[in-house]
Amino acid sequence: MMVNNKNDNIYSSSKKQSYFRDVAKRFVNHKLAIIGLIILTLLILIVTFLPMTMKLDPYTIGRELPYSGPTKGLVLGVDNAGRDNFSRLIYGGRVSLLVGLLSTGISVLIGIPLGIVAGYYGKTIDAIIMRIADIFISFPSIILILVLVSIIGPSMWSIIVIIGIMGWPEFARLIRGNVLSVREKEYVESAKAIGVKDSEIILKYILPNSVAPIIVAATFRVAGAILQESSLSFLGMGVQPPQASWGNMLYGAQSLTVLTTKQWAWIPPGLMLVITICCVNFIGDGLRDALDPRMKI
Amino acid sequence: MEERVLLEVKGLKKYFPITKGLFKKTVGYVKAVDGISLNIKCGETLGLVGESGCGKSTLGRSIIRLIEPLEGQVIMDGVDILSLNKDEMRKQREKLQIIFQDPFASLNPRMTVGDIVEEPLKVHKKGAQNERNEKVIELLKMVGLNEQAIGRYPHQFSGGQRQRIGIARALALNPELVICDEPVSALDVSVRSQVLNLMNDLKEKMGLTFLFISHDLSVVKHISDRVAVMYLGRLVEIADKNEIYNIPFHPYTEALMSAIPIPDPEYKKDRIILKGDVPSPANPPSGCYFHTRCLYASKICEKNQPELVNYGNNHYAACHKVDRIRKER
Repeated sequence: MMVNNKNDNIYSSSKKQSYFRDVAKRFVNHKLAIIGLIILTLLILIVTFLPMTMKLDPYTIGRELPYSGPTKGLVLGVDNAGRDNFSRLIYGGRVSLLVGLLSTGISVLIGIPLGIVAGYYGKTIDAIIMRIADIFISFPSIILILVLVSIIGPSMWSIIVIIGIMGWPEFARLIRGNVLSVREKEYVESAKAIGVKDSEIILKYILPNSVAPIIVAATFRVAGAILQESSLSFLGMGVQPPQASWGNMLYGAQSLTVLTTKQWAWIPPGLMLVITICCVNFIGDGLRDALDPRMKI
Repeated sequence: MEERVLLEVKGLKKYFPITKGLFKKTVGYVKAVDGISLNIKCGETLGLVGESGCGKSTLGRSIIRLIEPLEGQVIMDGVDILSLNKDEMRKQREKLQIIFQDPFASLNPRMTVGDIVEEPLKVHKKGAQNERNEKVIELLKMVGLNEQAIGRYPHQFSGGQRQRIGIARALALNPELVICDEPVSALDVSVRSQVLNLMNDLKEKMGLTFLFISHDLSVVKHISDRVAVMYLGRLVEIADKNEIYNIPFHPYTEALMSAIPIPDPEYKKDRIILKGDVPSPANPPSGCYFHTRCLYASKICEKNQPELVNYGNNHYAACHKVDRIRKER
């Protein structure tokens, strides 16, 4: 009985949870990542709850003359149609964050399984998947996205899906390269020697040892997707006004007079983009380090 | 020692294709294992020596189908394990295990030691969770690690300790045959003997059979009962340890043995220095593969490939000149 209790202790105290506890510890020690996480969480909280609590109205036009500066009621002035810039900034944040996170999620979910299968099984499967990836990459993605958007019709959701689908080859290639090197490692051979099933080898051996660069790439991809949405909005194929996004706010302010004299129209959305992208990158950095048990706590 | 044959290898071949150009046209083969036949007896340690690139590891991995051999048979308990399908092979793996060379590469860095050692038990569904936990502790103690190791990760251990973890993992299922693929060549000398002695003890205790692959002749001498010598994918000689170390028949074995350093500065060795390089296994010489570097070679060696012949006392050698060599001694 004594012995049993002792064993149980060893297992419960130092097995499963300890991995996540270690990960959390390492993550907390990564100062930039924590700052990034705090700011991003704040941002998400603000864009979800502020509109309700402050009764923001981003859609009413003609509240002031176009591009008038900050006043007491309208802290960031108004845009080209006289809509409240501050409300639009908050509502735009919703759109931009959603587009960035969801479309990256879609890319990762498509790219990782395909990349792992290609790298692990090799040969014909590899050739087929990677040639398809090449085809996707060799088209200028913005043009393909434009075509697709014009077929499906521009809306936030169609943009999320399309940007997501267009982004998978990057992840597939990245993880395939890692899988190619990891699958030759002796520990994979030892798993095969024991008789571990392919699916388990992939989940327990290949994936954890090749996923680290994906996390960093994914954070860059979030930033890229937010920017891509901005470009699309500029070309009239993105989020359609009156719905706001940081992208269409920026591009709505794109004229020399506005840029030089009406800074309140473009600095806030630009700044928000920069802050968001930096935060996401820092979090990615921290996660990559935290997930590696070889890193010192 | 029991004389029951545990595993019989018959005419095992593994060629790696050499491909060239855009369409991966096969332009030749590297004959890593070129028709090897040998028996491994129950409870023995068969040493397998040879220089780098002669196919030792490929042979070891082919036997347990980590590499699929081209042709040949590996017979265990009357069944050719090369003919088993995927599921049958998975079950068979319970009896065949391997200890790897590099303890820094053979343990999954993302798994705890407890998980690593438990995995074989889990895969083959041995016992309930708490029984497995106990077994893991028992295994770790058996290889001289304490139970605190369970929650730790491989990188927190030294090379020797990691190799012990690898041994615990390999022995978790009570295998019958363990392929030891240079298990100590990555360890420093001080740890090497500890690990070797541990392996010897465990072999006694658990009634294991080892195929011990190494290029280190003194290690093989220490641990083996019989020794097989490989050259360019073929066996050149196989005999009892004492025979092969004292009176090697094959000129290649002779040259190998003369290269063992002797810890005596006064001792003047008459080393046999072989001329030239090992020929490429993609394009081996005709006849006896060794004739290009052999001191005794003559016409017949260039033409005919010698077979392994029993020269009494279960001492096999593949050489046309054995009789002459024996006379000259």
